[in-house]
Amino acid sequence: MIDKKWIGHSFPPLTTKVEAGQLGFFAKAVSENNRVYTDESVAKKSGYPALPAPPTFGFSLNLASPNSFGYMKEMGIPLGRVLHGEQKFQYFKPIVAGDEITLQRTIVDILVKKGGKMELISEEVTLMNQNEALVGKMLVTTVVMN
Amino acid sequence: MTLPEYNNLNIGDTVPSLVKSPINRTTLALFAGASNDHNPIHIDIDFAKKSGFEDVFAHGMLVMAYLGQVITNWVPQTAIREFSTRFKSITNLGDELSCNGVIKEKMVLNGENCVKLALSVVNQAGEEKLAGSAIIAL
Repeated sequence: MIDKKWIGHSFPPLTTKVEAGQLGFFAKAVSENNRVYTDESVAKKSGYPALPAPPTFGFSLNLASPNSFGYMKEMGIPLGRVLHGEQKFQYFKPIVAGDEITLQRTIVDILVKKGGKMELISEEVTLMNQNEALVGKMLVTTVVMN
Repeated sequence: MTLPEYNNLNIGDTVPSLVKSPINRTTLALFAGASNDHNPIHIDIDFAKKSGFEDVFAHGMLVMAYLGQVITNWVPQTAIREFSTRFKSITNLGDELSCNGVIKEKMVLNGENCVKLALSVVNQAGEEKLAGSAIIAL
């Protein structure tokens, strides 16, 4: 069982740069056909200052560290027993190539389900850009199968 | 891309759906690299078996990225206010995913005309993989 002491805990923030090359690689990996995500001139014609990050890319920014699952280890959760349960994004401003995004992860809830066979961890993640504007928020629910 | 006219949209209207190529191991390897999600459960069959699965399986976020394309093929991304999903079952190798959206509600939120889309991803057998929703400002 996961220690409930983690509820309310914020992990150290992560700051990461949004790289145009990685956005192109991501677009390829998801077979993206919309050229606003792959061609900077199309992005600019559409009003973006640079290539935009697609709607789910915030989740990837949150993993942009060599120790991306380290927090789970710290909480004593084996990676082979977790599944993604739910994912929510709220969008306030676009994220584009060249931005530097700071992500702050806080554990907001831990629920025990099915008599302890399952636990649900909810994390809230805020995304702030280099101008200290809140660009988005995510709610990540992870299922731990005990 | 132009925004659809709020007054011309009705509850029950569908947005153009999207069918993706069947998931293979290359898809998962590329997505692991491109998305920073290096969880071995999606790319290492030995690790997947040790964890009690028959094989590797798709990242939920790969499927959600596909579903996001249904929205961004329909409206510019800047119109999206919220996008959420529940991951209902594991997406396996060979699954051919269809991503669909339908207008569920029309409402005014924070002074903006918005529609709420109900979103769904199913495989070739009709099994639902993701159920979600999105709020779009028009």
